Amino acid sequence: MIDETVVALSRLQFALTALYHFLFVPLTLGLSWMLAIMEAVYVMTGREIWKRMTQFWGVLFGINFAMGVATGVTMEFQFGTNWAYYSHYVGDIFGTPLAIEGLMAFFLEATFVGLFFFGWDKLTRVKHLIVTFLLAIGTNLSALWILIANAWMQNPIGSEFNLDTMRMEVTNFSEVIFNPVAQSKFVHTVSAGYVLGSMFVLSISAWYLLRGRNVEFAKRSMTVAASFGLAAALSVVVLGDESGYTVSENQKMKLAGIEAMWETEPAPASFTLVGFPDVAERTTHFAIHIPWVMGIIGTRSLDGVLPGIKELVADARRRIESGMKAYSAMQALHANRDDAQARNEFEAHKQDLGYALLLKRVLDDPSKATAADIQKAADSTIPNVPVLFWSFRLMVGCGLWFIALFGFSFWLSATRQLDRHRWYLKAALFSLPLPWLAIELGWIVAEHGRQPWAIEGVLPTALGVSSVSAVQVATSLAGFVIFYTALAIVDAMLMLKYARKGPDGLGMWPPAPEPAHAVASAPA
Amino acid sequence: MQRVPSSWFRGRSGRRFGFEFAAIIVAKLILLTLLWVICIRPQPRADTAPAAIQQHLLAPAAEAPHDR
Repeated sequence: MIDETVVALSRLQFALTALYHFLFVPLTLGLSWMLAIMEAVYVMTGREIWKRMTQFWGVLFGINFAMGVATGVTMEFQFGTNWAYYSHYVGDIFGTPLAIEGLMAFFLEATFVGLFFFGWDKLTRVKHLIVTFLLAIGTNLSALWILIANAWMQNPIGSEFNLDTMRMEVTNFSEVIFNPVAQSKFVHTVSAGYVLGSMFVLSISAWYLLRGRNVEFAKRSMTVAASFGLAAALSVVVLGDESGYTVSENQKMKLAGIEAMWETEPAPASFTLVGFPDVAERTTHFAIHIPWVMGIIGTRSLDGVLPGIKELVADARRRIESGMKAYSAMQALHANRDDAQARNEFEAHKQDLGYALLLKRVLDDPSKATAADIQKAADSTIPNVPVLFWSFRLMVGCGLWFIALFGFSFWLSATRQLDRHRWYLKAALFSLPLPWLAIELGWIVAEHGRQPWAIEGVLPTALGVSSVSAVQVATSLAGFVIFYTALAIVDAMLMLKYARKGPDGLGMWPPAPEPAHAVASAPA
Repeated sequence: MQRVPSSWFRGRSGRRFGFEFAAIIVAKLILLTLLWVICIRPQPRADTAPAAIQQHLLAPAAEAPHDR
């Protein structure tokens, strides 16, 4: 039987490193565009304050970049140590976008980060602005490739299982790149990063206004953050809806889990606003429903049916039975590679092979599964419904708050009242952690909702784990926790130090006059 | 007339920031290398040859082979 402790520890290790890595990534995504906007205003107007704003927020961007860069490398360590079978099984598809992402992240992005910081005196205004735009584009392209890889795990298209090499192989790379899940995931994820970048600037600027420091600097920063943040917050909702629609197409169980939709409702399905999902009873207590909404969001029609969890479990059971035929054929082919009947049987049922592999958590030989074993494996396709249900609702709640806050900020900025209401400034300051919370919850919905699959419908997570001992995984997990905790402490200290100092404390604004001899010797 | 220094990064605070920026990255590379040497390198490497993968899928996971 599969060692569930090893599976749980490996998942915990990957989840912790991924969630930690993604504390830095969205801020880099968002702040890079904020810098480009601020510098563009500087180039267009020639006003020094916009240059100093770019440099100040660039310092905080630099700390985040330095702390975040390479924190994702440990996930690649884990592909080799804890997920060796996963890596082999899907490496032909998964490896290419990861390699391109590495090139984008480590070469393109790092080059432009260097030029951004050290090119102010070497490049003309316009050339430096181009560098800043390329930095923003580079960071976003890195995200694109990693999300293409991730989207393939949610919707494995453009590939098929090769019995000879015993792995999934690419059949159509353009399908992998233009995977609709990748497109919707990319725009939703980067927009969330833009919201975070905007909130970061808005909150820290609000703190300066509360203290009466760097007033002009903070007001201008808040104006940029309010405009960019409002556009981004609205985009996140619209693009999140698109993301939800793609989930309803290819991950019906995840959607049913998010909605705690146990039964298939007549179309259009209602949306459960709140309630208490009960996994044991397979019902949701005290549910408050809004008629039609889920059906319209999920199917974009009034007659599209969204299957409930119970119906999807029955479907999984049918696919497990089909997959068992593929598994038995694979066993026959293992004994005799030239068994034509077994090969035909395998080809006819190979699309359900992954479902038969779910049985390996129940018994060693899936071909000997009883009806009870099959039912147990089918039940295992239900994700953790309460976690999905509440994570999604908290994320959406945060998203609605961001629209309200940025909308109000935009109005205050347009009417020049940004520093008028202390309660507003406090609300903006204390909203700082919320985009991080929403983003992490979004990843929990996306990845926890995919369980029990590593690759949806193809490879169960438990089968991707290496044959390592729990002690070995626990050792590396302890090492990662120590490493990341140390990084988090240094990061928080540096961010606080530079944010507290502010443009005035760092000698950025207002600009100090240079010594008389320097002015005299300066070129005209 | 007041003249603004062309780049904050060339001033004292900017140079200190540049030093901290570089120091963080160097320290991280050292830590990551240590992490690799202590936690990752000693782990057994899974055999992912097709035959071994077939055995992995057809046999209990705990019995799948290592190549060292």
